[in-house]
Amino acid sequence: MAQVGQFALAMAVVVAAYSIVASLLGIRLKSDKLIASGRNAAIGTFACVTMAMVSLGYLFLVDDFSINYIAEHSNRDLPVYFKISAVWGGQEGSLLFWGWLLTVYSALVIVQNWRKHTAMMPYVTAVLMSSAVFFAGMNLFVVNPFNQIVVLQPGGVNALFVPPDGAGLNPLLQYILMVIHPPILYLGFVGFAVPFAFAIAAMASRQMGDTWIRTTRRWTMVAWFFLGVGILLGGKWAYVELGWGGFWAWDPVENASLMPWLIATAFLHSVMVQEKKGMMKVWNMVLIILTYIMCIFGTFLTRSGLVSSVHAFAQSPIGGYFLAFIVIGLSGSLYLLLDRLNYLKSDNQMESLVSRESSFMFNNLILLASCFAVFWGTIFPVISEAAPEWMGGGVKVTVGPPFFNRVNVPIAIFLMFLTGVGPLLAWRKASTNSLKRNFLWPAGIALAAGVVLFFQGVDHFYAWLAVVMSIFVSLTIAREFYKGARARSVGSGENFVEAVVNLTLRNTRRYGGYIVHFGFVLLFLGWSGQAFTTDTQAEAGIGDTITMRQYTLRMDRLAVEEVQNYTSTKATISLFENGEKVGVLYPERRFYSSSGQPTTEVAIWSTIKEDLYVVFAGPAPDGKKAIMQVYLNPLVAWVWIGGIILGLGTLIAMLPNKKSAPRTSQASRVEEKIEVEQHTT
Amino acid sequence: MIYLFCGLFGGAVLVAICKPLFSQDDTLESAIIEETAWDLLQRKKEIILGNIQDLDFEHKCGKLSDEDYQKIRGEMAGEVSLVLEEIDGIESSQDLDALIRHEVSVRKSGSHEPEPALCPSCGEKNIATSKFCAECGAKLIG
Repeated sequence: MAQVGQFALAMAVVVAAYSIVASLLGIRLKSDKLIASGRNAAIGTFACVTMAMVSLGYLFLVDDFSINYIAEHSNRDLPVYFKISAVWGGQEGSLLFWGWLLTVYSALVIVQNWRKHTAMMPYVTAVLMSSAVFFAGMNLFVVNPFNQIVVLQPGGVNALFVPPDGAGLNPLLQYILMVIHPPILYLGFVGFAVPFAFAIAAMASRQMGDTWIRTTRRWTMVAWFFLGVGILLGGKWAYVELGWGGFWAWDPVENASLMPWLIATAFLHSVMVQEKKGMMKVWNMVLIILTYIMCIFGTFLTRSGLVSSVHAFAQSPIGGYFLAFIVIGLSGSLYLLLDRLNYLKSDNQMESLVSRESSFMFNNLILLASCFAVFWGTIFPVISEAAPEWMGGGVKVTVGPPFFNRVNVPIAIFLMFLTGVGPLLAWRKASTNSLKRNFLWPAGIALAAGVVLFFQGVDHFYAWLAVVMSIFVSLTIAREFYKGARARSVGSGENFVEAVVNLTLRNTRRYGGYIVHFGFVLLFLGWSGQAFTTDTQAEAGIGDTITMRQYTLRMDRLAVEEVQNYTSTKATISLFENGEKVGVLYPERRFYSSSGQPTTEVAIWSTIKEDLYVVFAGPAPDGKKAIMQVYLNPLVAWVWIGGIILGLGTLIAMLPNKKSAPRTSQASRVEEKIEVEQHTT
Repeated sequence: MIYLFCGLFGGAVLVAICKPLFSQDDTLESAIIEETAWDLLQRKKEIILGNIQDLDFEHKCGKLSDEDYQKIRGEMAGEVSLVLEEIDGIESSQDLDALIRHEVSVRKSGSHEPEPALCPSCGEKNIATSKFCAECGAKLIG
């Protein structure tokens, strides 16, 4: 089966390369035959990479440890679902998985749009296949997942070596969220290839209206949705699996996924300005190019070893190739953009600083500033280590959460402010009177709540501001729904609930967007709770208790258990709140024999107010007691609730708008004429 | 067995790739420009009309003062008139590309083909949107 995988990979590289050549040559020679052949080759690439993925999956399932990658990332006792997730658990497999998802997206986009956008699609195919060639080529020539273990025998003869068992999957990845987190994150990363390809195709074919934006709007949202969900799942995994008490540590790998998400968020907002007013055309091109390049950069950052050290990067076989691909992709796209600048002139000018379009512009600048800060903080240790000594370099500097929080917390609060203000502003220009009318009571109530909070003891400035902003934004969103539904029900006779539902369904993008904003508010509120986290550490034997505010934990049992893949030391702890038993917690410490690594399995008692987070940190020196680390994390549940609402809002925004009953073609022409006349009188 | 499988798989992919090269039909669909001046104007018209609808709704919701509303609506109405004039200009200039695109879009939208406009002077059937006869140049009615 390994040969099938090798063959499929080799064929994928050739077929994808042919697809690029046939598509571009077809455009040049004006030959639809060649273009159609290039299209079929792109779909053929999907078939080839799928075959490679199936082969690798099969080899994992049958424990073929003659394959180096499988011997390093699996073992016989690994449960089947972890064997499947192990396919993308290491560098070779994850790059194959990336490439496979790219070909899935490519095939879907080609089938969906071939007839609709005949002039753009050959370019789209060529761009998508350029990435496919790179990833399949990396897999074939640099990090091949099908390579077998060969040992040199006495007498200089190479022979295959099959170890009796594999080293096993990294225990930290043996968690159910880790089965779905990477695919979802990758669906996000790879998904941005679609709007990127259309943007390049629009420039190449000199069709720079908003066709490319309208065509890829849903694809962009799908990618944004998956990337966002992937980031949150990563946070959830870190929270329940890593055992350090938090969910976001500004780790370079986390930052790698956040950066494209921030730029894509800016893009999703600024395309509205282009669609509505024909402005920001160059900016949108820049944003989508940067988004995709950041997706590649994120993959590079995570996979090249660059984040741990420049030396690890130098030893990594893929670093240089990725860097070259990024440089070529970025410079090629920017060259095309500069060459087509004349076609990208704005149709309108910004008329006022207090308008919806200017709030979008600020939102874009803020999101980009945040992305730059994250980028700089992530890359600075590498730069300082790589810089020559006479420049003060050669030293590994760590940029930790304090830097990222100091920069990003004010940015996030300002972004919240814009989230509240933006929807209240009219397009073109908002007058002072309108502003007063729209802002007065949401701002007044939020401030009044702020005063109450201050006297109740919330004296952490940013946390206080975050709560006040959350109230302000929530009120403005509620106001949008209320006013919209009221305006609707006056004309239609619908009751309020019907009006809210119909209002949302008839303009899913706007009202879905508001729901996303509300999800963001809750998420931010949960995040601000981190300012009040407290923790304690204690040794506890059977019958001992640990008290933290209103909670008391009583150690009832400590037991060692042999499980299929690991040895577990599990504590049974009764939890009392204000003296009343509310539950039982099972914090656990595992030892994975195949890899020789210990892990902690956290026990969490979660309420909407706070999480009690218990970590079995290890045995006490006397061997009879256990060291327990207990955290009290306020409001964490709101991060996940906010995430779910954010996801739901995105799904609503992706729905097509509900239309009125279809008109007959003749009637529709007449009505359109009347509509035009009405609007122009 | 494995080699046979690889051969069959590779053969199937190759056949799929090569098939279009040997087809008779070379339709030149890829040469169709989607965004002609006419298309862009139509799109502009749609956008401004959509913006006017939004503006009306935002005014209903109390987001705009009456004064701002009247002013902005007036400006938008002016813009849409200009766009309509430009569309008329293209359609009456007998720009074939634009007319073909128009026809294609009418057919794509699934509506019935409009009745051809008969020339009152020579009887030639003209495209419904034409203002003058393509044969004799006489002004068409309607």
